[in-house]
Amino acid sequence: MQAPLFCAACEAPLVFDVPELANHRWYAGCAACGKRTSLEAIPNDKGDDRATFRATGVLPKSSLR
Amino acid sequence: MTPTHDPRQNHLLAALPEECYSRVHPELELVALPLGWVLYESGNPMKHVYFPASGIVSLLYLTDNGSSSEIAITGNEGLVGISLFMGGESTTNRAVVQCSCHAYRMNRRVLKQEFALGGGFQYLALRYTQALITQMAQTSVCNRHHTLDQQLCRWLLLSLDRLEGTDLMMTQELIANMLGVRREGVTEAAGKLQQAGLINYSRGRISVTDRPGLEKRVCECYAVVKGEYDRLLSAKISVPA
Repeated sequence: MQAPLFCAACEAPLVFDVPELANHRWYAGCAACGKRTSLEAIPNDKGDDRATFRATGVLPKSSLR
Repeated sequence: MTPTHDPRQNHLLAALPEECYSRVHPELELVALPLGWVLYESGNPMKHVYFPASGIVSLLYLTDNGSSSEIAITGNEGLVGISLFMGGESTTNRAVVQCSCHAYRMNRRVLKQEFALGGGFQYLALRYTQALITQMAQTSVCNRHHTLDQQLCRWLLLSLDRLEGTDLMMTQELIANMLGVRREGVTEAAGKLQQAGLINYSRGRISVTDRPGLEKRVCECYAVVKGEYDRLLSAKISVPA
């Protein structure tokens, strides 16, 4: 199950059903500050139903181009 | 801007007649498929069928000694989990995400109900299965009769057909696993293609710089597979409701 994640810039909780993907990088946008937090998938174990992610830092805007 | 998600990014779902699509649409669940994610393991019963919206899912066979070889790939032209509607419930291969993407999934109960109706969904699912069988057969022919750089060309072209853009994120080790060969062989084959100016390979990113050149160099296997996919799944086919 997906653990709660927080914005890497303002620490507000990140709310998402599925993360977004751009240039092979996963991210979630923050409703509070508008910044994007870069996410990394946690490798799955047998029986995992959906992919889960951990936050790794603020996603630079340049990485979405 | 937040990207939009639409099940019709998957071509099979997009080809469903309206009546059929409106029936399955509420049953589709959007999921994230990160690189390396295993959708199903060999021999395990499947819970869902997946319709990729982008990206690539690879069907692999793993030998007892840990070697692997790719049997086929699926992108937004198809679905992953044919065993659910073919009646087998599980398969001997493993499905693993080769290029991160989103997909829509449908649970097995809904899938079987829709398939049993014998309408557009069944029609498209069976045509897709025939195309997939062609790809599997041609992969085995190619692996036996063609050079490694021809196999690499085929694999690159089939992958690119399923992706946006001209770049693939792939280490040589992963490519070696896909083709069922030693990493050194992939280094040599990729080196030949790079020398010929067809690709640029750096830090796990393969950029195809001359697609027509790749198409000239590839064996007939690519055209056979592409031809069958185009024939069986063309937007021009008439799908029953």
